Order: sequence, then C-alpha cells, then structure tokens
Amino acid sequence: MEQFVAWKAMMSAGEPTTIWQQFYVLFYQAFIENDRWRQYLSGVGTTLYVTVLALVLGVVLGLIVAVVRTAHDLQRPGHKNVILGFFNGILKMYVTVIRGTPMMVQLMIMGLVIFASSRNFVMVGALTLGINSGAYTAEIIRGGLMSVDQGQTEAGRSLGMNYADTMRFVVVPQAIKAILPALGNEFIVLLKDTSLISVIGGKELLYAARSVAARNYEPMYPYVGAAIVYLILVMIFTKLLGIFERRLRASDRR
Amino acid sequence: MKKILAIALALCLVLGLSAATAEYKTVEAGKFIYATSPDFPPFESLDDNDTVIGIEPDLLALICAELGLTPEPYAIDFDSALAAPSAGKVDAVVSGVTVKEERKTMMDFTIPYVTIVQGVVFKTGDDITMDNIGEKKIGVQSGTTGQFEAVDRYGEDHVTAYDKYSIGFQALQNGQVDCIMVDDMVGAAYVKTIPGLEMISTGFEPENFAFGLAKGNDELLAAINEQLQKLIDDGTVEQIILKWNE
Repeated sequence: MEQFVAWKAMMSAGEPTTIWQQFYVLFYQAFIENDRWRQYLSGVGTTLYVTVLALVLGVVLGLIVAVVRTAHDLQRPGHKNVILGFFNGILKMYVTVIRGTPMMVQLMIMGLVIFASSRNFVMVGALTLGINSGAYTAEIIRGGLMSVDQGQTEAGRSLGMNYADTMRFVVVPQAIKAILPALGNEFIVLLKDTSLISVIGGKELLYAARSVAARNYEPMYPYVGAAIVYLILVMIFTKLLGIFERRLRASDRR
Repeated sequence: MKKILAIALALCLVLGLSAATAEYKTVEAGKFIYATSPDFPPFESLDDNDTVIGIEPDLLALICAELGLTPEPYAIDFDSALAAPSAGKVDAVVSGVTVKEERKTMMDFTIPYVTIVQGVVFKTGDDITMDNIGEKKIGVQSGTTGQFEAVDRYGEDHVTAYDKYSIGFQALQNGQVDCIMVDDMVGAAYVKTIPGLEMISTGFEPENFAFGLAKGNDELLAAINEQLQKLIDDGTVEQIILKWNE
C-alpha cells in the first residue's frame, strides 16, 4: 500500500521508475486499490448468472422450436397437419427475425423500447440473450434431429412406442451426440455476448472493467484482466463439454 | 546568375512550405485529429450529415486556421476518447473534458475556457432534490466526472453508466433511471430539446473545461494556448458559447 502510493507519486511526477514498479502500480490500481476486485467479482457473478439464465431459456426455446419444426417437416407427403403448419410458420418467423437482426439492435429494442419501464437491466439482458440464443439453438437441434435416420423412428414406432417415447429414447440421445460440438460453440458465443448487456446498463464484467479503466485513465490492465477472465470461463466451459462428450461416446467404437 | 536565383527562390518556396506544415508535430501532418464524443451538446453533437458541430468544433476551426492545420474529429465513446491521446491515435481529446489532477498523467491540458457545474436533470413533476437524490437511480455517461461524483457520493448501486448520454436520456424518459447527472450547460441543451424535463444545479465544485493534448507536444500546446487566450480575450469564446446556447 505505502509502496503503491510512493511509486504512483513517482510515476505521476515523471520520475524514472522500473518496469516492475510500473507493473505493480498499474496492476494495483486496476485490481486492488479500493477493493476494486469486488467490482470484477460481482461483474463475473452477473455474467455467469446471465449466461445460465439465457442458456436455459435458449435450450428450452430451441428444443420447442426444433421439435415442432422437425415434426412438421417429417410428415408424410399429403398428410400435412394444419395446426402444426400454423405453429411452424410462427416459429420459422421467430428464427428468421432473430437470426436476421444483430444482437446489439435486439438489446437496444428490448432494453429501451419493449421493456422501457423495467429497471432490472440484467434480467432484460438475460431474456434478450436467451431469445437470441434460442433461434440458433433451434436450428442446431433441428439439424441433429433431422440427421437421425428415418429408419430409427420407424423402428421405434413399429415396436409400439408412441411419438414422444420414440423421440425420448431413440432419436434425441443420438441427436445430442451429433450436435454437442455445435451446441458448445453456441454456448461459448452466448457467454461472450453477455458483455453486450453493458450498453443497456447491465453491470457485468465488462462494465466493471470499463468503470475501473475510466477511473484510472489506464485501459490496458482492466481490459486485459477482463479478457483473461472470459478466457478462463470459456476454457472451463469447454472442459466440461469435453467431459460430457466423452461420456456420451463411452459406448462408441470409433 | 538567373539560374542560381531561380533555384534559390524555388528552394525558399519548398523549404518555406515544408516549414509551414512541419511546424507542429501531429499524428498526421497538416491535420489536427481530435477524439470527441458527439453526444454532448452544445459542446459537440452530430448534425444530419454526420458532421460534428458545436462550441468546440467552432473554436478548433478558428484556432487551427491560425496554425495552418485542418481539424478532423474522431467520434468515439467518451471513456475511449479520453484514452485516445495517450494511445497515440489522436492529437487531442476535445470533448468537454474537465481539467482534473488525475487526468494530467494522461494528457497536457490547455488553458481552461469555460466553467460549468454538475447539474441533475429529471422529469418535470418528479420529487428530486439534492437532499433525496441519494435514494434515487442516477444515470451518467461512462468515464465522466458526473459518474465519479455520483458513485463517490451515493454509491455504485445508485448509479448506472451508459456509453452515451443519448442512451442515458432515453432511459430517463423511459423511467429506467430517476435522473441524469451531467454538466449543467449540456443538461440545459437536453432539457431544451426533450420536452418535460427540468434541471437543478448540484452545487458541487465548479469544473473547468479545456482541450487535452497528447503529452509532450509542447509546441502545439503553446500555440493553441496562445490562440485560445486571444479568443478568450477578444470575447469570441463567449460569443460562440452564447450562440450555441441560444
């Protein structure tokens, strides 16, 4: 602490300082002075919270959309269900609109127009990210469901299983294995996209880094620090996905 | 003899010209590039042609004309604008920058040319005074003195920082924040354009605005200071400020 004050005074007075002293001062003021690490910590908390909420919402939305759309697309020719067709149309529009507009624009519209009266910026951000992620996840899951051979469904159905059971025990387990890498990709993008919610006032990791950078007029340490935290989070995430993937492949002989 | 004279004359011309442009060291020769966050009327804002207009562009136009430089704005969010000169990207930050001791490690300030006080803008009819502001949600722009004042006095939980004042004022109209803490002259400009807002003064310590030049460019700093002093002395600065506050 005393060292920090002394060296900082030396630096601002323009006296010669060693690289180590500069590193110490800049690092100290970026992370330790006034307990600034708390800001980052609560930022990381918000980032993870938003990621988890958005992830769950995205997967649920994506699953619903994918199941409806697959069910619609895989109907026998000439036996099109009207109700299914109706929902398929709506969900297709949802996917088109969400995938066709930038995340940032969606956040601005959700934060400043649709939820104009909400003060819970974090929840609005999580909701927006979840809805966004849902559209991408839907297409990934749909791809997985479509990739399972029709014969698998037919076999299941001819053994007396109903549609839901066939999906649950036959199609989905095979599909999950196929889509896991793509799904992991989407989750990683989602985790990093949480940094966008700072534009509507969500106080996540980047917001904290920005505040500190603005305080010290020194952007390198806070931003690089935030980048390292994101990187570590993504690496942990990747590791978990890897473990999950290996588990699912336990029965494979490849 | 004639030939020699001609060569000498040509040399004089060439040298004279190069001397005129190389007189001041800038990031790009002949240009004065300044970082600015153009959501800060009347100091700087964007018109429909995406041109930066306001008090400071007007002042810079006059000063740079005297120095033989062409001013060129580099529009960016305020907190990034502050960091731009020390990163060597621009010659100066000209964005209603308050002269602060801490900022002197990052930039060399010119002489100040205007004094402002923090103000608080809120929706007409809302019960907001300097006594109860501590219980309200305060919107600010990231990196401004308003943010530091608000956070230091009322705590991080009461403050939401936005990239731009324009987003902050939108949030105020939506009711997502209760008030905006902003330099009074800028607050007044927003109150004038957005109906249903009013402003009170915080009564905090007055702040001086100056241009923040990249450190170590002493010649340019001295030249700008000289021109700026002239403009202050003959009342031009005051006129320009009055014009943009009309």
